[in-house]
Amino acid sequence: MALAQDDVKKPAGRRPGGRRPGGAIRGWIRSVWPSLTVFVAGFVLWELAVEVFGISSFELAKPSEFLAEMWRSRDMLWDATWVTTQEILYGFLLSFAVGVLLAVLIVRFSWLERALYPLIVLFQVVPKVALAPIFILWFGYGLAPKLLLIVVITFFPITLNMIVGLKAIDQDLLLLMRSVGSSRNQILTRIQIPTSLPYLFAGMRIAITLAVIGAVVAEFSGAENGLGYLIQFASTQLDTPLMFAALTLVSLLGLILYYAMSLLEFVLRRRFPHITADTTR
Amino acid sequence: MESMGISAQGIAMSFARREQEQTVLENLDLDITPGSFVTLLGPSGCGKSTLLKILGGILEPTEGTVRIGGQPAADAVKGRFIGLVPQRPALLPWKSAVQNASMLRQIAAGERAADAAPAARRALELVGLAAAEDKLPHELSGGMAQRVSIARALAMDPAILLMDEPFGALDAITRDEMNLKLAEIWAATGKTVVFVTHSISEAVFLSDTVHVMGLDRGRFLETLDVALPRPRTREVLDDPVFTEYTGRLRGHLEPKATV
Repeated sequence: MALAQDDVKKPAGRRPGGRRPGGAIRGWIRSVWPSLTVFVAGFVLWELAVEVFGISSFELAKPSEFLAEMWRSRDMLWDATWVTTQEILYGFLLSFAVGVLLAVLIVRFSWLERALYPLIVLFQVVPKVALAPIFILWFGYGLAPKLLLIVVITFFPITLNMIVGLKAIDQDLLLLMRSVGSSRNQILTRIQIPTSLPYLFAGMRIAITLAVIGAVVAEFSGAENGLGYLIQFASTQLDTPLMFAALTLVSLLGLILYYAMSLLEFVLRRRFPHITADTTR
Repeated sequence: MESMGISAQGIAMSFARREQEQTVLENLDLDITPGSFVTLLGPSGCGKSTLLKILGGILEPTEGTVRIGGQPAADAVKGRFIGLVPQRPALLPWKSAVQNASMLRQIAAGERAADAAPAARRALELVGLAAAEDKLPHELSGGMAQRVSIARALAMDPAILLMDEPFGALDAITRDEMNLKLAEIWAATGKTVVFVTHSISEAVFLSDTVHVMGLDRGRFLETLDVALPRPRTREVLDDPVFTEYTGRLRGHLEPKATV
């Protein structure tokens, strides 16, 4: 059970009040520039180090090299990025549906909790990336094995966080609902599900980053296109700049998707102010 | 809704805890007349909250019968006779004060937001929060939040208000204010109120009748009829009769021979 506990990310406390939009942008810039400086400095040092120590571009590509490669192969890379993005998005949506449904059913029906919950936790012990070759064997090189792998890797943090959120209902509120004869379904849909949103979002943030890993690993194991496939392909060709170019794009994709999740949270905050949007911290 | 009385006979409650049966309440009889303010006073763990839930039909006793307005207690829940004010406000953090006050009408009675709002607004006005109806729970002070909770119960227009130590978590000054407000609300609505507290002065100040419960299976140590004049204002606190009552009740609740 220790494993299960570690995966729960508790939602942070509510940030009091709203800020003025102008102040928000200035605040954002102020909070972003230190990490941006370090980031750029890192790239400059990298470039210099490769130059000074005379490392061959076969071992470590210079940033200038793989950025140039990125521009040269932009059509191919764009195609691959699009393929991988689709895999991640479809996989994540499927995982969201499976994860939330499972959590709701488990909390609603205690016999299902007894039947499924231990198995779900047990399943966490399986190193799921190792399932990729099996899924390829069963479903071929298309979209299906990628989606399956992503679901298998990402549903757990969603389900677990959602379960914790659904159970986080105030006991006094539960009593109040019973005092007017509300049904369990009413309590679930009107109280428990909205209450669980901050927990669900914490789980979705973990899940979206795991989804990127799932897509890349699935592509390693067998694919016809995609960024993971390109990294694999470039490695067989000893084309290090292309590898780094694809790697950069995967990382960027992960970052964008993570922040997209924060944006969604921010939008939902208008209706459900108890969701916290800690996008920059 | 017209105020209702409660009549309880031979109430007993026991829980199975670690395969041992624990009897919390035994053989309690209680009659509450419509429109009266009745308090269950006792130390923590005496079973007063449990008794409150039983009296409202929210919890089924192991033995005994409860009739609310002459009907079986289970029907009171279905008929929404009960307005519960729990210990903590338990407001929905994503709903404004007026939406929270409408919440039970919407969920339990299936009313639409627009239909439930007028009753909720009237209730907020009654508790003195008309100006704060659009505020979210995190913008409210503890006392205000608890008043929204009371408004939420009142908006249902229940026959009986059940209040489970509603002011226990508030600071002393806010608590005094809330007691005055509640006395005012009670006078204005004429609802039957069953109130649980472990504060002696709160019990005497508010009630018509105080039942003092002991730790021994909730046995009533005394039933006190408070003959203080109404309406009750701050001046009541300085009335020698008030002091006499509180002194008498304190005698029951002080730990014996342990100091």
